[in-house]
Amino acid sequence: MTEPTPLPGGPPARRRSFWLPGVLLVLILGGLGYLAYTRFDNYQPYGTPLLNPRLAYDFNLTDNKGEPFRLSSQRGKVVLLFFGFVNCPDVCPTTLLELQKVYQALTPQERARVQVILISVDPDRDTPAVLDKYVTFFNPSFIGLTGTPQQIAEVAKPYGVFYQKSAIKSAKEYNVDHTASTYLIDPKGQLRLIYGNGKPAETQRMVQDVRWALKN
Amino acid sequence: MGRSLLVLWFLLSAGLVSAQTLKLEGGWVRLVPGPTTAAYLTLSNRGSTPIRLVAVSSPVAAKVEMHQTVSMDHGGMGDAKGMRPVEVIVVPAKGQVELKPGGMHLMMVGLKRPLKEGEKILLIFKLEGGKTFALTLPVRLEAP
Repeated sequence: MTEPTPLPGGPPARRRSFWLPGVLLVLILGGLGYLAYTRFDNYQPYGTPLLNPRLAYDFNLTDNKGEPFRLSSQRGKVVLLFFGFVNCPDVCPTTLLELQKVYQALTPQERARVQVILISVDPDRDTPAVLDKYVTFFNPSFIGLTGTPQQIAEVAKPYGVFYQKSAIKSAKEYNVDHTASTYLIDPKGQLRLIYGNGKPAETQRMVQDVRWALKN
Repeated sequence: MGRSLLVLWFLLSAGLVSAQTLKLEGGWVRLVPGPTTAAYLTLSNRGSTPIRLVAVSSPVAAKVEMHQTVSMDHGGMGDAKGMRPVEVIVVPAKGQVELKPGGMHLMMVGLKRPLKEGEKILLIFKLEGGKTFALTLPVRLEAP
């Protein structure tokens, strides 16, 4: 019996055929790496990044002092935006406390360039005075915003915020189901990162994201 | 937190007397500036039959409702949260139920006065079968 002998030129030819795809792979990975590097400055944010940062929807609402408030007035600052309401006993105070811890962990210089904002999804009950008592409890610098039901609806939509009254017992007694994410808007006014409910509990990772956003 | 309450009572069923023990621990009432807050605690059942908590009240609130915070998905756009009333909290035999932020809680509606950090709030628990007992929980900014 004779065994088929491998052709002498076989193995080197196979090696050559792997060479070109290998180089291509390195080039592609390198290119992607470069893109990621230039785009994110090599920093992997803790929050979920928007792949195409866009200007955060600008709005005009009424703040907790009863004054008109425009989001674009916060250019130069990092804005941490949360939608909630005063009669929310569990999710909202938890998140606002988490954001307060993030704020406190920053240096005074950084704090001057960071604004935490609560937008009420319960404009029927949350007047500026009610909101003032609420947000300043967590931190005197926090801002609470309210408006007409129509105005709130117009702001919630572009942020993808859902809210709806539930367990309605009377005109003044009900719950509000609502999206409980936190949005990070950079100093250029671009919506950059989104945090799912519970994520802001990681104070140090939030602080890193805020510092990165302040520099970018 | 070392504060806990042990409630022991006897149950007569099918001619047998069985001891029921419910342990309540780690409880606290959330300090908030608004008229609505939440209370949390862990209920442990050391007995061999389930214990059913059917109502809670407090002299500082117009009413106390048992609630569950639930997640809802709305078109994949972020995570929506809501609250749903819970009719009864069942503490299984030899088991426990933890009421905590983001989960089950006792919603205290219509606070009659602002709460102060550190003060003790009286809560009255009513079990199925009519047994009631009282417990005081400290007011805190966050979980112990």
